[in-house]
Amino acid sequence: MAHAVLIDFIHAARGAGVRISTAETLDALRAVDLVGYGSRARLRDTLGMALAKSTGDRQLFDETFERFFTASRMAALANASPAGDDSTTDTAPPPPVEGDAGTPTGSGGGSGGSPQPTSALGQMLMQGDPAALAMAMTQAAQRANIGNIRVFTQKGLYGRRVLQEMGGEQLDLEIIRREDGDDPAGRALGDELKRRRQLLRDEIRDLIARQYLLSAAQANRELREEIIREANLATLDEFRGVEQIVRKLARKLAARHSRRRRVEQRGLLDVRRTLARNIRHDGILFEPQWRSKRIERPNVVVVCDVSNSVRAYAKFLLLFLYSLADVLPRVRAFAFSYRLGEVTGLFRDHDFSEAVGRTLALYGMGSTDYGLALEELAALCGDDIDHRTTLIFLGDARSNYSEPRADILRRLGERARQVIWLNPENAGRWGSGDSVMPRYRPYCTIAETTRTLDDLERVVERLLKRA
Amino acid sequence: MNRPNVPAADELAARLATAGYLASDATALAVFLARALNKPVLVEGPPGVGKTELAKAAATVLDLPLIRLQCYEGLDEAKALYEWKYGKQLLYVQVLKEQLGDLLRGAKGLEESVARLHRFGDIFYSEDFLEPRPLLNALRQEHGCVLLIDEIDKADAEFESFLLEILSDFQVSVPEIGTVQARSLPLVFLTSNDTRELSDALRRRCLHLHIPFPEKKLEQRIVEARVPDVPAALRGQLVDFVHALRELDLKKHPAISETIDWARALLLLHADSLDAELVSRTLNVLLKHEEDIADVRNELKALLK
Repeated sequence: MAHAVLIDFIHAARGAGVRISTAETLDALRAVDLVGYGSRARLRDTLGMALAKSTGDRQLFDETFERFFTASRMAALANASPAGDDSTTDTAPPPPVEGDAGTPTGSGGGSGGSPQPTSALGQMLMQGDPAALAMAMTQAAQRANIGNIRVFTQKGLYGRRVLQEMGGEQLDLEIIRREDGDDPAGRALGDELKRRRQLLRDEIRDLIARQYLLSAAQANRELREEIIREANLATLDEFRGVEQIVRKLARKLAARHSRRRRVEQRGLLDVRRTLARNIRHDGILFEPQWRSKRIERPNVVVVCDVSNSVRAYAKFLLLFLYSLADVLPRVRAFAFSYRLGEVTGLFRDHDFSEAVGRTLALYGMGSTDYGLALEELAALCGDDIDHRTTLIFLGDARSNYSEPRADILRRLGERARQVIWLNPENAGRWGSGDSVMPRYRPYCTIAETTRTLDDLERVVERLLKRA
Repeated sequence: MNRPNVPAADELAARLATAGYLASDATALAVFLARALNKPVLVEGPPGVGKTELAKAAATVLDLPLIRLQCYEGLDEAKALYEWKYGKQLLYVQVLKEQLGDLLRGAKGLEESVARLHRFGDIFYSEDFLEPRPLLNALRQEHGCVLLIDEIDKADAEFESFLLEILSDFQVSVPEIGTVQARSLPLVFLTSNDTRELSDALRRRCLHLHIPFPEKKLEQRIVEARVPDVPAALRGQLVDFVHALRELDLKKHPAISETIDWARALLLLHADSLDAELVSRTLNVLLKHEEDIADVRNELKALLK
């Protein structure tokens, strides 16, 4: 029974977004067997250590734990036999009723005194032991598979199933029988049973509601993440939790590409390997070995247009950038609309909303001038751009009919490893109106429409592969 | 393999305390579970909360040797696991060259010579020529040990994957010798400062322990244990002040070790209560960035209330 509850909990924690493998589930069960259910704090720490393996996961875990291990459930667990000896969780349910509840034998079995309920559930209700009841309810819930609940309209269905698993049918029959009987004591008992049945129903409803919150959350979140990833960047503001997803993307990319090894043609003498290699030649060193692997880090310069026309995009591009800068140490970020300036320091020293706020306040004013921005970029960091640098532009290349200065881009591009242009506009519109994209296009290694997070991820992935 | 007796969590906490490490309940529990389940512990937390100290203290109370592997960029198997003693091999080859003639004397034909040589085949790649590095050392300890893999996030992702075999099965393959199985299961601590995201595979194999900055009460006890001469009133004040600093938006928050250093400094200055002048003069013990010090100086009045 105790293990069944833990497995339920793990289900719920997964639902809340904690990634838990089967091996970890087993670890958790073993750990809890050692620690027991005596202390709630200790149970939480034990499960947390075995199941939640990062700070973010731990937070989700703690929330789920608070919701799942309520005081009544803890009481039921503490009363249960020491964990471990009944680990057969998914076997067939025990017969819910014993004996002859189906054959009415007058009221109360003929003996004198107040009548006793005949159905098993009725007896349990009248004994009024909350721990036993909570345990029976949890077991019944397990048998009714309430972990599978997905939509809220299923709540009633699962509620009935749980009650049924607890032996509700026999209880119903008994109540009807007693209410129709002549014995006033029996009728009183019937009324009392009816009242307690209602209380039990309420409790079951709470249990189901809790379970619904736990397990349906997962399905919903996955769906939402998919939607967000495919939504147009400009509309992302309307979603909650976007930041997390963007950050996750950036982290994933950065972790995969933050460092790469390259086999070089030449390198330093590797004494160790030279000795090892030449033992076969009697120890005469005539086959020198070189250290030829070099570790390279991508060196990224990002220039982001934050003017009004692309502001909605810019915010998320900046967020993406911010998350990248968080993990890639060598990202330099610039923002411009009319003036251009470096925002690397802002991003390093402040949290995201603060950094974006300041960036927009400092550089978001005025009408865009790409030519001027390029001039200033060349002045600010032109010398630092070399064959290791990847230069990324984020913007619509709408320059308000000013001179685009594509010659500067060409010059920078010749020195950089690659130039990437991410444009929120459809390629079909490039060149229309004041768009100078066709002038820049020849000097870009890649120029792509980037409208959604998925686009963004794809392009950046490709970029880092080449870097 | 020997399975050691495991003291319960409460007893561990008490024993760690006698070794000078005041552990929170979760920390003691982690050591207990690591020992009982034979799982490595991944310890995370801000710098200076005693992640490395925990491994040292655990080694002391469990009476096991501590073997430490400091990770850094470019760390590879040769430095972490084993290395052949090339110099020795080379020397032996030169010295033994003459012996070869004796060995082969009287052998009829090439085949017999080769057969004779085969009998000596792997001499040069035997244990005698093996230079064990920390990881192999840890596996070869007769009575177990505490293995501390410090700052695993500084090592490369490749090294991390290489660690997986050791962490889950406590064995490792040396191509020339075969699989080396742990003689006795080591208690493994990995520490990380989160400079790089660790792989899920590694995280799955470990118990996860996050050590936050300690609560006021615990930190007071730590200061009391480490700098016993500080008067109780001052101790309360200084811990309160450090906690207030941790609430601020600073480049680097003061860690426990800095609290202790500060307590020592105040003791040397014969202080018995905090005042703005004193704090201002000794701030550089607590804070390590010029801007942080300037920021805090400006707010000193409010902080000391």
